[in-house]
Amino acid sequence: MRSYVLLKKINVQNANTIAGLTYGFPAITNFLGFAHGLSRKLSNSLNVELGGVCIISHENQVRVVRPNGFGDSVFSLTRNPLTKKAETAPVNEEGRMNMQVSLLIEISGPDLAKENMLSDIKNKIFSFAQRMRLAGGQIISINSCELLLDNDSQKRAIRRLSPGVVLLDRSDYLEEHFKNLKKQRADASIFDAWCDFSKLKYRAVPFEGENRESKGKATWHYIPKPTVENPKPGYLVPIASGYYAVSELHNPGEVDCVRDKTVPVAFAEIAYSVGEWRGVCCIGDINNAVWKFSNKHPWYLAQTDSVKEDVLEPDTTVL
Amino acid sequence: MSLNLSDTIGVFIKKRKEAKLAPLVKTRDETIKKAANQAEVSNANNLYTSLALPIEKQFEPIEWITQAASKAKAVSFSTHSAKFLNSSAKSTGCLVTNFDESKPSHLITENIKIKSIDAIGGAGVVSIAKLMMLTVDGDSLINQVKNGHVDALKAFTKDESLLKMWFKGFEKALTSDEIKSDNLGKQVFLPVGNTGCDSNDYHILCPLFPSTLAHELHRAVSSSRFDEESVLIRGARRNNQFHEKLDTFFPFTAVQMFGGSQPQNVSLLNQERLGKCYLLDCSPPQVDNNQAPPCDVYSIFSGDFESKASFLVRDFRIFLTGLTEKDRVFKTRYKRDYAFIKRIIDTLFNYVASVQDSTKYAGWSNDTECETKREHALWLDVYSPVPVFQNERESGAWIDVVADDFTFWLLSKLESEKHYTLGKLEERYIKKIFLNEIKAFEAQTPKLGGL
Repeated sequence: MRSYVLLKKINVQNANTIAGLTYGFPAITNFLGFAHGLSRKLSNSLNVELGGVCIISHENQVRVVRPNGFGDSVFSLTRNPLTKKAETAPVNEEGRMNMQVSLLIEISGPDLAKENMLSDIKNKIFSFAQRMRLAGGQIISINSCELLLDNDSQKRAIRRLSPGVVLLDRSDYLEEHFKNLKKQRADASIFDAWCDFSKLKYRAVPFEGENRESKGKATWHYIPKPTVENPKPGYLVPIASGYYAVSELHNPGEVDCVRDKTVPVAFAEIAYSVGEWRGVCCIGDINNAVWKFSNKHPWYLAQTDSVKEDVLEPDTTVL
Repeated sequence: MSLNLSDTIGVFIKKRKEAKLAPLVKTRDETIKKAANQAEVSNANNLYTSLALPIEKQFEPIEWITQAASKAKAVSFSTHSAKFLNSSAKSTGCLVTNFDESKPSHLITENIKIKSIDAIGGAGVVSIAKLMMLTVDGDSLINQVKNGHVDALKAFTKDESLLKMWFKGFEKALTSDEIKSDNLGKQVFLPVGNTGCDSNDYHILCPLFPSTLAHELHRAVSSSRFDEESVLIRGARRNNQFHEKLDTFFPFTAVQMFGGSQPQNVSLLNQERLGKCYLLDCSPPQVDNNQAPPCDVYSIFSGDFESKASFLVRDFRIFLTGLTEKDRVFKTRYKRDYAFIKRIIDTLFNYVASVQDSTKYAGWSNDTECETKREHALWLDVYSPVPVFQNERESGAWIDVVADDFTFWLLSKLESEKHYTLGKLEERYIKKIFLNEIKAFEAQTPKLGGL
């Protein structure tokens, strides 16, 4: 029975909305880093440790604009002071968003067993969290902070998080789809499989009695993601879910201009996968939706424990 | 007759020379056309020759290649660079050449078979970068230098020491003297140990922008929009005509610009992309808070909720239509049905929770103009102050009616007599799932006067 701390309805302003080649929600490593930073702050005064994070989104407002009313969106940028020559300074484009998220963070440690420490833990977490930044944005307010130590309180808290959507790890869908694609075409790539979870596809079906020839009458039908042979239900999106090291792991001190010369360094790129946004009521056991780091050179990934959902059996008289 | 690499290089240098000479040629020809007599014509020719001579000399192959080799160290070939993160970042880039598909659950640059190599160095060295990237039959100067020779340049000189000098010069483009990051680039601490209190428990990662992967995505998006074939397919769809291929496009893309009005200052591939990098949407679906109650519809399933769940219902219907006879048997199918039905119910509960939360409308079901069915109103109007209403809500008899309504609604939405029939089996299963879920949901719903 795991315990969780719930940071409910965190209002964040100007969070970074660009995660590698995706936009619209910050990368998951942001939230894991937040929990880790919070854990370090607590370790000075309390004997508790924070672990993985479950991310629930309530509101989000990405600062983009469609100049023509259709087509690509562009990011709304800040207006900055002019240069000495009274010209607009060149700018590195940044994407920003306002969001309201709730975080369920795993908590463990001997202090949790002590009744008199609980309110202290709760207050300290609440106070530290409000002073931190989340996904590059400022935390404007947090509704409340609760400790969920038993099953009942966890079920109650999840019900009260509705309406909201939780992010789930579906990297197994990408793997399965790639293997299926490879059977059909030897030159299929993981990139093609990944794009299938983002593209909209339509297929023509000729009218009754018409041949499959060009210019013949047909209706066009939508194809669900990723393919019509194996459709996966749910709101599937491409996400940035960790890093992959593209260089070797350099010893401390070998690389110049780094933040800390006592720590091993590697150059990395973002690794992409597939996620699903689902209504928050689907969470039975919170552990099914908790993202954790699994860091081992060269893969530094955020993953959930892979769990099969329990299927409700129909009445036995039926089968 | 197809050209080999040496000939291609020769043509490349010649073309650059002609581009440089073009304005002089134009002026000379114009003067000759307007010339009144022979003296003026010969003057124009002499002028042209005197101006063209230094250019001809500069673009003489040996001379030009020597110049290029000496400047080549300013070019850096990479698949990942920090220049995109901040245009002033001087961090070293990375050149990834492996092809590996061993972990298909995550997409990285190594999964791309034929990688487009990017060249960073600013506008001044673009010609050198292009020279080295000229590819004929899969071979290029970059490949040759990597393999330790410059055989393609043997066509221009027999001098071994000159060839060696050229090789050394071009080699500098592929390697860098020191490895460094930059305070303007991103550097992230990632915990690898357990406690996080020891410096050995962390690794610093310097994330770089994957120009090659961005180029692949740019190519995929552009080809789905502007390729001749894509345009034809889209036209066929618009006119409801048959085409054997799929119509695909990327919805809700965003564009991030690099380099402002000078994209070539960032990198060569950036210039080819015109500074644009396409980004795919990963935002969550819109969740409405404090939704207004559905006073003017009889059933909650036919109001706002229906549009929110429409994509799930559509996918469910397509799934059922696409099944083979063997897979269509309920016994083999019910597990996959469960996934779809459960997700529709999750979306429904999100909508219901949003209406239940809106305390400012409390008591809306009591309004004489309210058209909602009694049992649906009992579910939604949690904070109604009317005691009779609350008693009826407590009794829970409405749950069964709502379950029947949901089942009937879902079955009617999935109806497709041409392809399959859904009967008592499905009806009982859907109702069972719904009752199970709504009981768990309502067990935790806040009550009037409670928490």
